[in-house]
Amino acid sequence: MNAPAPALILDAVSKEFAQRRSLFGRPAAPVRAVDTVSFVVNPGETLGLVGESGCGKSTLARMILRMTRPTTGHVLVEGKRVDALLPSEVLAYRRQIQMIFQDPYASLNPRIRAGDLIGEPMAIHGLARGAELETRVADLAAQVGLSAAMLGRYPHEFSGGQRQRIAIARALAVSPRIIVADEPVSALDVSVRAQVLNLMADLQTSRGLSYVFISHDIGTVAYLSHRVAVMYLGAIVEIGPARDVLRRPRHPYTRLLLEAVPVAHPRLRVRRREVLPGEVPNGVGLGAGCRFAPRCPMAQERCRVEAPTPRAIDGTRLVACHFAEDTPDLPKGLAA
Amino acid sequence: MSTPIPIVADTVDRGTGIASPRRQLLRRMLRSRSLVIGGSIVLFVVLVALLAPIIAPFDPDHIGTGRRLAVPGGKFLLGTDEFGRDILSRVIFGARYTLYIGLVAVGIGLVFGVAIGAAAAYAGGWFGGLLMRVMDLLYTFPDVLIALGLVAFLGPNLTNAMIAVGLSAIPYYARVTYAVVLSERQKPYVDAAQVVGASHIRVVVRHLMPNVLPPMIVVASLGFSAAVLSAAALSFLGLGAQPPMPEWGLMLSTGRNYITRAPWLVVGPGVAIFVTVMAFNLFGDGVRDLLDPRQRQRTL
Repeated sequence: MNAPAPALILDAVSKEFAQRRSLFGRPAAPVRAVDTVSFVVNPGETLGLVGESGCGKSTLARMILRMTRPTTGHVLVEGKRVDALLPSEVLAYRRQIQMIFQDPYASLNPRIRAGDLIGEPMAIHGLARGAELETRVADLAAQVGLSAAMLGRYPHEFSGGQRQRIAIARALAVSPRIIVADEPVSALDVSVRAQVLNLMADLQTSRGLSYVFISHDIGTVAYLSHRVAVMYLGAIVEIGPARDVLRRPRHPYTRLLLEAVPVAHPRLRVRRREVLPGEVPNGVGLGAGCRFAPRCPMAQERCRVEAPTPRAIDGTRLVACHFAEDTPDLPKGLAA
Repeated sequence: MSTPIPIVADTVDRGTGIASPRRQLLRRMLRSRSLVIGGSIVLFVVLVALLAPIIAPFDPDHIGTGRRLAVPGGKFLLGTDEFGRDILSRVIFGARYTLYIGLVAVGIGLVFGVAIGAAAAYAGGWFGGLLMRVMDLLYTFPDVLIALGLVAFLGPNLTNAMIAVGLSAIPYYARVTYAVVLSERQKPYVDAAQVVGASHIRVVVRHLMPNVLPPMIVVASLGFSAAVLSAAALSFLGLGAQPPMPEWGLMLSTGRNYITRAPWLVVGPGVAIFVTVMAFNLFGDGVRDLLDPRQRQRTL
């Protein structure tokens, strides 16, 4: 295990949001949006982060990108604590890590031309200016599959896929080592999703990027990820190599997520699924037991009293479930 | 039965299959009656102001161009005033003062109002709250009252009146800007700019302002008419333009003394103020309707 130093480390990161108190009400318990999340991302690796909407994925991304501070715990980028950076270190940190946002319709300023959007990070970081800036912008545009002729246009003149390419070029402009992609394809037409995912994969190979790939769609996560972390209600319930987690899920929640993936083959559609019952609770006042117990088909008495701590299973992964070994395998043909 | 139904052919541009945004915009502009009427009158007033020396039949300040208090008609279309000056020429030159006052006052109000509103909305927290509460406090006083106080303090002349009117309008612009910035800063492109490393100043100036200022055009054109009215009111009260300036408010004020014997002294400048203010209001409403389709059916 002489691996290179991880590019990104999350060390027991939690985030609580205070709830607004009504005028005469008692102070409400804070919402635990992210609960003691720890993982590492190695150079050149993609960590897929899956979970239902509202499970804290985006809050986690915001903490990694220094948009909000963790309530407890630390985020370390290239060994430096993100919440303890000196003002003079912030720009250097931003050159290490960039983000691709979910909705390219909203994350690109509608009144700034594509070329200026791509060039802005380089201007801010003083990486290039004048004619050199222009050539580098054209260069980057070419790398993401945009022609230089398009750079004078405004975002609304592009299609969704093209806009996300602009966003990717903008993220790459400072040559970061890590990119956090928060649902980068969920706002796109299915037909262009694969193109954008392939582009991301190519860029990873050519630049040695690390990705934190956040998605609610286990299929797209499977496509790009080396390792997968499954989040439920702010906590990671299972994390391990993508192949293992997606083929032989050991946490009942992972299993239910995988079962919910639509199957293309008609003959395999017979007699499906225990669909996940209920909605994600809101994370206020979690009881003593396992957070997934109220919705878990395998829940037993112990689950309601004692919260499971993550433990190693099969040597490669961590699972937060008392009965991980008893989780039945997926029906044949369902593995992503 | 078999006649092909033209499918709204006139909104489709042959080349792309979609009407180009620019042509669509032009079409919508021409369809808006308030925009067309208001805009033409505004344009007319601007032309009159620019071309005043050419189109005015007489020197506006020359005493004794005609008889004192000559009845409108003949040589003097709008009659003459108590010094025998041609009222039409004075009204024409007055357009210059009016536009000048409007521009300066709106300029002052916009610059400070936008700065304060944007700072308050972007900073938020107690600082933004305090700033806006101060603005709310000032907003509760009528503009003219504040302007009156300022002029009393600065001294009565036209420049001070313009400054006073501009300053008194700051809370108005600040509040509108505050609201617009507050909604814009929630948008992901602001997060995106910060992630890329943009400083707060850069986020506000380069990212927010281009999205905040277009709606402010509406506010400014509505504010323009308010400023013209306030300035005219100050001049009427003797706190703005001083004789012998052909300023409309001042002309009303001096003409008032002769209102029973020679009502045309107040009709000229009065109608001029009315038409100009109405034109700017119509124009502002029209632009607002263009930018905000939800409110479209409300005016004209």
